[in-house]
Amino acid sequence: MTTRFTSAVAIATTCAVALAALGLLFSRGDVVALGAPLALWAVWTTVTAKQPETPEILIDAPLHEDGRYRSSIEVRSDAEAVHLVALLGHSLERQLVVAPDERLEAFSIAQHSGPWFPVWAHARAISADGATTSARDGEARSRHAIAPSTRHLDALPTARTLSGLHGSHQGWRPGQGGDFRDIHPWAPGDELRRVDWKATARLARRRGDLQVRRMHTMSEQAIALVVDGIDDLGEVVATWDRDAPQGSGVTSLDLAREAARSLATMAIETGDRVSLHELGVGGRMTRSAAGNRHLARLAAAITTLAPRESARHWARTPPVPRGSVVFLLSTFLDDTAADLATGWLGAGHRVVAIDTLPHLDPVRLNRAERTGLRLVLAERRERIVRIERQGADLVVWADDPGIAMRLLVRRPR
Amino acid sequence: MILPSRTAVLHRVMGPRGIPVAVLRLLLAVIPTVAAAVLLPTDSWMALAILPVIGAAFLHSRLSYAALAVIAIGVLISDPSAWRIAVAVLAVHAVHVLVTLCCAIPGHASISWRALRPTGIRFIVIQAIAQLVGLVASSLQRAEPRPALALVGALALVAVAVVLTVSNTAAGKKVRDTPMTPSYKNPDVTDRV
Repeated sequence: MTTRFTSAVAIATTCAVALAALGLLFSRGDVVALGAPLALWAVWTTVTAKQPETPEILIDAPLHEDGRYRSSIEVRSDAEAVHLVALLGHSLERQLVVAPDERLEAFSIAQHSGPWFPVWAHARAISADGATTSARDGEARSRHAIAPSTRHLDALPTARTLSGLHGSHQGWRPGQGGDFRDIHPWAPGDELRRVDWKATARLARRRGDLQVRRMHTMSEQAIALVVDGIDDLGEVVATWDRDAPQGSGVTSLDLAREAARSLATMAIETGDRVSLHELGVGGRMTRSAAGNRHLARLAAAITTLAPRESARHWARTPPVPRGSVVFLLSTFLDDTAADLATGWLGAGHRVVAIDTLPHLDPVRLNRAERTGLRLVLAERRERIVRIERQGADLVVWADDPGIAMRLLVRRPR
Repeated sequence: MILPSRTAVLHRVMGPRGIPVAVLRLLLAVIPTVAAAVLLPTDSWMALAILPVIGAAFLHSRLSYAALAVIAIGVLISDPSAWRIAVAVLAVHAVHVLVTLCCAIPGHASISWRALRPTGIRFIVIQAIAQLVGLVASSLQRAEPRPALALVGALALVAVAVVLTVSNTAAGKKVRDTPMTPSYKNPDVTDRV
């Protein structure tokens, strides 16, 4: 392969010739000799140096030690040196020039849950004092996902009509396992052990009439977790206009992941079926199921929830099973989630709106920005009041959600 | 109130032992200044010594190469001397190597000693040859002024220049001589981790 150089070789050659010309002009051989190192360097570089290949960056999987993540970085190249640029945790950039096969250790502390890149590295190979470099830069990044924490919830609100056949919630259809429903004349299909003899003695009109004690059936319910990941906004309002994960404090997606995981854990423990829907372009869906294996699947999907572009105008409403309780996790800063809530309420589902906006800190905002923030929050408040009036329940996750859930459970269906 | 995060505490890189590239840039300002102070008369070197300092600050202007002219003038206006030519050859070579290296790497980076080893070895070998050439040229110049010596040396350098220029032209488009500036496009975070 033909080696390509920077302008350094041409400059060295030109300076050597210029010094030679100067020495010739003044008949000074020692001035001509000043050009000797430049000419020797140019010849050495042209003859011996070859253009290095694109360097290969190897980053080990991060290890969690003492509350931080340690990654080992190594660059392989056929060059004399490698210029390495490492971006740590989306925020801090460090630049080093190292010899090939030298190892570096990168330490990062995760400030948020969800997917992140502890190390994102670029490298360019350099040879001959920088006179030739690799034509393309190498790139590599290590990926990791931080699982969100879980808050314990005592109970979850139930749907207005339960349609499941087996579960832990009091149903409305006659069956077995639940509380007393009524005394009913015996019909074909009723079990003889259900006959209430005292009631039969009291109520029977003709010989052979039997009265049976009927119970409510126990039902499972279907829970749909709908996560609006279009916004990922931090506590510090001044960071909303830039992609700066550090210094933003707890973000709305951190709260959404924590809420989704807490709700999924409580629902699966109760024996309910849970589905997960992610709003936005490319949003994924985890189908409705129950059991611990499904909980692990949900936990993995919740851990990788990430911000997405809005797909408001052409995406269809996520399908939820009949009679579901829909937990809608959103900041409600635009109409997407509120319109979906209106549609589900109209279809007869119970909707619980989980407000995932953290407590805001307006530090470093000027007067115009504070005014703008007040307008945005006022519109958001109107949206939330509108869906509450349509029948949705509201839980603010940044406050104590356990108490709010207990109050919802006690509210009559 | 939320305090801003201290990223230097949150994230850290531990690399091999080395020096900041800023030290190389400092050498790029110091070496030609010292050479000018040694080679030029005391009342004139200060005026010309500002050029290397500006050249080190504005690296890609290649103003540091003006120091070569200053050094050559210093050798010209004084009598041939072995130690003068030694200092001048060292300074000319060092300026070129430092400019080439510092143009390829950013000033706020650090460079490990192992990465500097090939540069150091090459510098020493070329210096050994160039110092010998300079010593011989200076000795011959002192013994008897020989215009033919200058002519032969100049023609040799021109021949080398022609060969190098032709070969560089044949290689085609040059590579970048500015530090790498990576772009961090939004990663596809939907990839499974």
